[in-house]
Amino acid sequence: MTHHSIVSETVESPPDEPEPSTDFDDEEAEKLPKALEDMMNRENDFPARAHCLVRWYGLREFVTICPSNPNHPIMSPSKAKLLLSSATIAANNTNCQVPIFVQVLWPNEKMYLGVGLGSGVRTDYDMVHFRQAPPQCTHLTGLLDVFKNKLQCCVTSPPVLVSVRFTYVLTEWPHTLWTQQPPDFDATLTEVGFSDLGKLPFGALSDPVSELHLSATWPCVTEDVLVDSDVYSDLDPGSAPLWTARLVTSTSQPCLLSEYLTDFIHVCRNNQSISQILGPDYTQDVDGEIAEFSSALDRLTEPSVPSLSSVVGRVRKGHKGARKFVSAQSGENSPIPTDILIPILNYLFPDAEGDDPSDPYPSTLTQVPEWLAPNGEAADHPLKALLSNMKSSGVDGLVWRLAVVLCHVAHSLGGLPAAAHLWHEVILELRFRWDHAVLIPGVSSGVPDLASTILHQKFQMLNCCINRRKAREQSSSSKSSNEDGDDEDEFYECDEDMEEDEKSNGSRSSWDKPEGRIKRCAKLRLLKTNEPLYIPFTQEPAPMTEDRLEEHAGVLLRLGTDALGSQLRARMMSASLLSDMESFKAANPSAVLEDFVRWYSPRDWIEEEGSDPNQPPQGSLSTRMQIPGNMWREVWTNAKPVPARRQKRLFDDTREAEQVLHWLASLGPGSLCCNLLPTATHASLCRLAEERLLFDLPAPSSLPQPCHSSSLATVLDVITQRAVRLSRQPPDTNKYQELAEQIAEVEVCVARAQSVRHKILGDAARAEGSSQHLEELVLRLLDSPEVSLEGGPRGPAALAVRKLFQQARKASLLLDDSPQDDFSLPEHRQSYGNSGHSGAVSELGKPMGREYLLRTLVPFPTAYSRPVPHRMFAVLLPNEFRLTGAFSQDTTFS
Amino acid sequence: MADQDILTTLKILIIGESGVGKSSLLLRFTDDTFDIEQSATIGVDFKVKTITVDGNTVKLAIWDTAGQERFRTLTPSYYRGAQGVILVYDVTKRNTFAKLDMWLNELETYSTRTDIVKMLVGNKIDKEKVEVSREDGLKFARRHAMLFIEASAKTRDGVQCAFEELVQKIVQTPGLWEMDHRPQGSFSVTNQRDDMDNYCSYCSVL
Ligand SMILES: Nc1nc2c(ncn2[C@@H]2O[C@H](COP(=O)(O)OP(=O)(O)OP(=O)(O)O)[C@@H](O)[C@H]2O)c(=O)[nH]1
Ligand SMILES: [Mg+2]
Repeated sequence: MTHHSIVSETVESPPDEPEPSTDFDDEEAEKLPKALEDMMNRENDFPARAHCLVRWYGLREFVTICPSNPNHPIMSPSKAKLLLSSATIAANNTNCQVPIFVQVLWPNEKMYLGVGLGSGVRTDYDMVHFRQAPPQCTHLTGLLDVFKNKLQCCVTSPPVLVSVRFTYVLTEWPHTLWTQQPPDFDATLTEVGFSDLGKLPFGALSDPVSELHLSATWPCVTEDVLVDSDVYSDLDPGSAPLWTARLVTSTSQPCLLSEYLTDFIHVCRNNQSISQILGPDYTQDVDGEIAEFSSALDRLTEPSVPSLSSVVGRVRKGHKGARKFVSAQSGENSPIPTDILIPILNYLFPDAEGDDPSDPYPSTLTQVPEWLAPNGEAADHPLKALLSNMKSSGVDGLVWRLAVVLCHVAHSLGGLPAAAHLWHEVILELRFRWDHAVLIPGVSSGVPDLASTILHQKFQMLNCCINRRKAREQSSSSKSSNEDGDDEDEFYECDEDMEEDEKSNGSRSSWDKPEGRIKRCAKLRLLKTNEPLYIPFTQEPAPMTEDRLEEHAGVLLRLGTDALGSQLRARMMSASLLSDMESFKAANPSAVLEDFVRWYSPRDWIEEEGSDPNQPPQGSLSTRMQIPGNMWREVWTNAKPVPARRQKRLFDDTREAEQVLHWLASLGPGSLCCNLLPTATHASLCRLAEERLLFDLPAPSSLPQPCHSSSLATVLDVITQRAVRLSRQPPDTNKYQELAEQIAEVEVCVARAQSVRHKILGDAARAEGSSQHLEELVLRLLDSPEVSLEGGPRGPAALAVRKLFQQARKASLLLDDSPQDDFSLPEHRQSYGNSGHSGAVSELGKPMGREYLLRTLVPFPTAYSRPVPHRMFAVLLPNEFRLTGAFSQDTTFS
Repeated sequence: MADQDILTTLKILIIGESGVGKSSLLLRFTDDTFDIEQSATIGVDFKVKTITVDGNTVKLAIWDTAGQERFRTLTPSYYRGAQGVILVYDVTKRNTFAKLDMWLNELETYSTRTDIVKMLVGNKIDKEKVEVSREDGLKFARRHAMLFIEASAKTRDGVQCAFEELVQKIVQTPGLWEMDHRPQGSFSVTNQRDDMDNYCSYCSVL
């Protein structure tokens, strides 16, 4: 058997309490051991949070010896004695003045035997433990008798100091039910707007504050001040000088937001595809990809795009028809019932609902939601600076909504299969939109934003493709309606003077007829012919998502770093240069490279001073452009005059769109959720910030330094910083799980605070000018293990607490009256009621626990011994009675 | 240099107006040559070089971008993930200096991180007709929290220094190049719970 010891020094003494002064001992020849001082120090009475030995003996420093294996407790008294005497010898030999305790019996009984030595005084620490208190121990008078009996031999009437504490427990909170339920989709379905869908829930599932303990204390008075016997007691809590309150909070409280997030993360851990989860009916056209590509070109020319309506089977009026029913597979036995699926899809794609959707997307997407200062004015969101760096996607955009909805799906709509089902439907919808050239809503406009998540980039890409496609189809349809081939209409934006120039130039043979002009380039004229220089329509470069860009960069990298690599790279990148040169040549048929450079790279054209503005300028290309065989010259030589719209497309929207759709379809729900992790976390953080109370709260003491002593808002900042960091790395579910646990910690704190506020302030919690005192009380209750109520039993704080007790009593009396409910009183209350003690029944009810502390300083074991400290402590609980004694004896003069 | 000695690989960008000498600076740094025949960059180019700064050996992947306006739609895609940037202007051309604000904007828009380390380089100090004074450059750099040096790709003045100081600063900036493997600034919830239990199970009288 190995022994270990815990040394608890100055256990949890309130920080402002000075160390017990030792001055008064200084003159004495022999200083008493610290343990004995502690025993008599009234500062140590009724500590708020401490080891039981601190509570029972007032000790601040001690050693415990416990069995290393809690399943093999010390059961035999002889073994305990043996251990204790070995400890005594050890203490003697080492001159150790710290009391030593041996834990005996089962650990949950908390039975200790102990001994303390030093300065010629030996103290025995002893205790008894019963389920029921013996009758004479249920009141002060009886306990005093027991105490005095123990010391009787030497002094007839030792002066005994008494401290008493009665504790009242409030477990029922009438009409302040503080629980949150997850949104019930069946119930809300019928309601307008389906509003819960877009919100992450928040709060505790059951009341995070289970009990309020109120203690009335009579600290350190002489025994004759208080009367408390089996027939009469003047221990009325209303007359106690000190009232303290403490909260008992349930540990590991489940909270909605963090549970949702955790369930979401759980889905992330799955790596199956949709069809692996839901069966072959839900196969996307992933494998038909090649056929898809080859038919894609045909599709361009076909007037009516082959719709997937056979598969999708949805009915739409134009592009904005009502969603009548979704995919054919979504029957009765699909994971998400159709009547729930439709509102979800309408929430994600509100434009499908018609012209006046119930939940339209915001017009622009931002990183943080709107924030109003307490005075109602718009202000900066407290997380704005941090979240602006988050690689996520805009608040309440499609990706955001998808993340939030999937949290609901993961938690309450069936988990993984439901997530797979929803994703399947979303992919069908996206496919439908591409096929019918309908833009995807809730996505930032423009080319893929590399600072957003890959999923958002993919959606942006799809929109780019849809836009290009629309533009292309529009121009080709306008062309076909204009059979004569008079493409002049196309460029009606051209400057007026273009026409004139055209005319003045007389007839031009059709092969070098200028094409694809936008407008004149300032006053520039071509070097050779002195014609105006026109800016051509050009192809825009191909937008790319970050994964494609990475691939592209990878290819460039692989070309190596030598001169040849650079050459090849330049050649690869010259496609857009070639395209621009061809467009330029088409718009300016008689241009030379110098003309192109003057438009395209003016710094490489060195013009001679003082040339006539109406004459072609004199000048030359920069040295680097003049080098024979340089890339620019080479490309220029190869460029044919072809206007942009007849060139090979640099950006093949069909191919790109198919690739995006393929990428999306190959994501299983698990990988989808992985990609949504930053956004789900982002949404959770914003949800936390919505609870304004958070910003008033202290950091919970359960969080270690340096967060301790700071505010809960700083904790939120730390979590947010971590989330921002994680969002820039490949998703790691374990790290997000840790983050979810930290979010849970904050959520519990806020939920707890809400509960306390609600209880203490009641309806005043909502009123503006709610009492400053009570607000402070709420914060102090949350922040410290025990709070003394200012003003004692008559103070404003006590008043609020009293009211709670009164309400609870009223409620329980009501219950008592109803005959069918007579079991409603908690068991222990009744058993206490039976214990027969007269204990003052006040407005607070009967005390749940009573503690009596008696101590004195008398010579022992003989009248000639030195006066030594003795201390007895009794605690009476409904089903427990414990009497602990620390009796000392002078070992020198015995 | 053995691979395991390399602390990390850093992505460095070179940006600035066309013709200010970006490609020339890079060539001077990697190959210690000055090529009068250097043609205008098309799109992006890149080179690698391993250097040792303060005893740390790092591999640099340096992306040289085209300064021409027309390429500006193409090049920012390569800004992604860069830890450092060298912003170049030509001391003999005031307008290349005036365009710096635009380049910083561009950088802010397209670089995916906000803590990117920036070095301002005034190039071509070998030339006679200087239009941007050293003080102007320094002032601009200060205002935008950038490092600053004047250099010449032709005479190799300041070139090595520009890259070294940039790398030094990046290596010293925490969180810029490591992954999130240490739980910095975070706290562990579980440990503390155990602790609490030790006390809580004893602490309450009831
Ligand atoms: N005198 C002098 N000339 C330089 C210096 N650096 C570059 N040049 C010249 O300036 C011209 C442009 O240099 P590049 O390196 O091609 O310029 P860049 O910034 O890469 O230009 P883009 O690729 O178009 O963006 C070349 O002719 C170089 O020879 C320098 O330090 N001193
Ligand atoms: Mg260059």
